[in-house]
Parts: sequence; structure tokens; C-alpha cells
Amino acid sequence: MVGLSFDNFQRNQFLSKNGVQTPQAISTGTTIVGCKFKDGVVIAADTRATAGPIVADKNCEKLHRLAPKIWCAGAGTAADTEMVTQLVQSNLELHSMSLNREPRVSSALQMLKQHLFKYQGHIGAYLIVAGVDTKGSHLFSIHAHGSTDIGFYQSLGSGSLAAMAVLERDWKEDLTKEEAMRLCADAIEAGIWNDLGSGSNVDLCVMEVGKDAQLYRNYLTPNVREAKARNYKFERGTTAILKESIYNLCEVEEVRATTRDAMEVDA
Amino acid sequence: MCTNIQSNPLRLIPGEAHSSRVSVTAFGESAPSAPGLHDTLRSGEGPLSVSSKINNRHPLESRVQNWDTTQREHQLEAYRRIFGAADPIKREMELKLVQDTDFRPAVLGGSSNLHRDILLNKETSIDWEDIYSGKFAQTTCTNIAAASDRPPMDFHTEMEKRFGI
Repeated sequence: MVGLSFDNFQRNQFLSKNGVQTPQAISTGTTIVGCKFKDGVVIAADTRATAGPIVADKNCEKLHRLAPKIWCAGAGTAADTEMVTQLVQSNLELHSMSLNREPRVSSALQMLKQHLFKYQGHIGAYLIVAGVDTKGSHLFSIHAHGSTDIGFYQSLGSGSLAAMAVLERDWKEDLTKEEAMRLCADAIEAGIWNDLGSGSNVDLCVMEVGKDAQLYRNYLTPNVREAKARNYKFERGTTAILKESIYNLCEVEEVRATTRDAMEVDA
Repeated sequence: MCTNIQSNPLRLIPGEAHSSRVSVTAFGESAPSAPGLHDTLRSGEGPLSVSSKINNRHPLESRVQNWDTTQREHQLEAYRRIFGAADPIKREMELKLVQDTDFRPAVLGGSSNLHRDILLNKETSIDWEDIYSGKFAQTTCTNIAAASDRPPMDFHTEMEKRFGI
């Protein structure tokens, strides 16, 4: 069978007909936002990964690199967002090597939406794609069935309502970079505090026209774990030292290496 | 190119694959001694259940399977209407030439299909089908659920099939 395998579908149907419990649909939790500023775009995400009612990872990464200057925040099924972005990352790289040009955000958008449309929403990836290219900065959102949206600010995931409230209140045209970072972090924090599916820290990525994209991993850490009041670790020096002797296991000899000319590389 | 189940050449996406008739040999090779029958002994799958091959399939399966074919048909039909019949005929002939000459035995991993990919404009893209390439599948025609994970066909069988012995 070429591509994805559907071999077990009939078996699973048979099992569920005969009383075996099939996995139920569970809601996924995330807050991701993106917002444009004067000459660039910022995306941000929380870092909580949930498996039903359980927090599976307290500091996961939801910002994926599609190209050096095109990043993407993912909500929905974690594995699906991860694999789809990896596939599109490979495709963009192949494409840009073939054309000898930097990839465009609209190419990334097109690849993602066509792939998701082909699988009719069975790939549960909800993405905010942002980046800069020769045409300036761009911000898009994509839903699992392949529909896309353009806007100055976007939010997705279960905490999107809390985040959108902040974005609607504070967003204005021609924000500065610092204001946009602040706004995105605030929106994610609204999700962290008010949505049960989102939590932990704020990751942030800034893409500015003519500059390298900058990822701020754990830009804000509002949920640092408190140190325990008591522990069993003994302080250094608890036991008195009665005797001390230090000796070298091997002799270290310093030899000055002859310097060679640096290898010639194409700049 | 396999025969397509769709009749409308301007379809953008594959239609529902409810075939009105089905043959026993549609889901694998036919036996050399009895060309009308499924080759049960060599398929490595046991007796063939035609009903399970066409009923209760996953709704996504036929869509994904027929995706590239549908896109190709659509494209060729568009070329035919714009440039005339010669254009799609030329393209299909080129593809056929490349597919027939680009040969590497399946036991050695099969052909890389580079030239085919260039003609199909796929040389700069990668998809799940390139990674899970079904190299272990025995059939050359990708009918619905025709091939599953089976060991590669041995060299002699392959040559026999290529030359129609």
C-alpha cells in the first residue's frame, strides 16, 4: 500500500461492532496567536501539551520552522501539526533550492492548505503561518479542512477566545516591534490563565523584514515551580574535612600547534 | 496510467469510488494457468474476499488513492481544450517511454523514477507516498487496496511480466 495505510480500518470497525471500546474524540487545548506590526510579524504560543485531562508536557514547542524566515504555530493534534510542518519544510527547501530563490509565505500557505484539503480534515492541524519574504510580511491562519484566513491579527486553539479578546482590545495599526511582542505575549497569557487547555510558558517568534527571524523560547515564564520548603539534600560542608591531598593522575604537557592557513570557502 | 473510474474529465477531486461492476482479477495478479482467476497461491494473502475489498473501506482511502490520477486527468483535459489533442498525447507518450525504459529490478530496490517525476512535475516535492513507497508491493497497477506489504517480486517473475511471457 502506497502512502498512508488504511489496512486496519475494517478490523477496527469489526472490533467496535463487537463491543470493544473505541477511542473517543477528545478536545485539544492550545493558545496560539499572531499579529503584524509596522515592518514584520510576531507569532506566539503557550507550551502546554495535553492528553485528555492530563498535562502531557509542560514545556513543549508549538512554534515550527518552515523556512528560515517563515514560522508556523500549530494547534490541534500535536503529531499532525509536527509532521505536516516537517513535510512542508522539506518541500519548501526543495522548492527554493530548485528555483534558487528564498521561499515565499504564500507558497508555504498553498502547500499546507492543499495537503490538508486532500485529507479532508483527518489531519487535525490548525496553523498560524507567518513570515517575511520579498513581498513583505504576511500572516495567515489555516484550519484542518484547508480553509485559510488573512488578517492583521489571528488566534487559534481552545484559548483563542481569551487571546482574541486581548488582541481586539489592544491591537492598532503600525505597532512597533516591542508593542507587538508585548501584545502577543499578553494574548497568550490571557489564554494561559483563562483556558484550562493552555498553560505554562510563552514562546515567541519575531520576523522582521530584512532581518533574521528570532525565536524567543520561553519569552515569559509565569508558572515557575516553587522550590520545596524542605528537602533531604545536605549542604556542602555538612561533614567536616579531616584530611585533604590532591595529586595529578597524568602529566599535562602543553605543545603549541603550528597554525595553518584557514580553508578557503566561498563567502 | 491505470484506467480511471471517473468519467468526468474536469473533476478537481476524486469522486466516490462505488464501482458498478468488479472483476476477480482487479485486486491482484491473475493466475498464469487460469487468467480469469485471482492468483491465490502467489498473492501471499490467502483467499480473496472481493466484498471486503469494495465494502466498508475508509472514506478517505479512495480519495487519497485516486488523487494524483484525478489531478493529472484534469490537467490533460485542460491541455486538450487549449492546445488540442496533440499536447496530452505527446505528454502521455513521453511518460510511457520513460516508464518503459527506466528499469531497475525490484529486488535491487526498483527504479528511482527520477525521469517520471520530472515529467509529472514532481521532482522538487516530497510526500508520504515517496517515503512509504510500497516498494514491497507486487502489483504495478495501483488499484484500490490491490497491493499490501509483500516481499518484492523476484527477478524472473518481473522479467516474465515485462516481456509478457
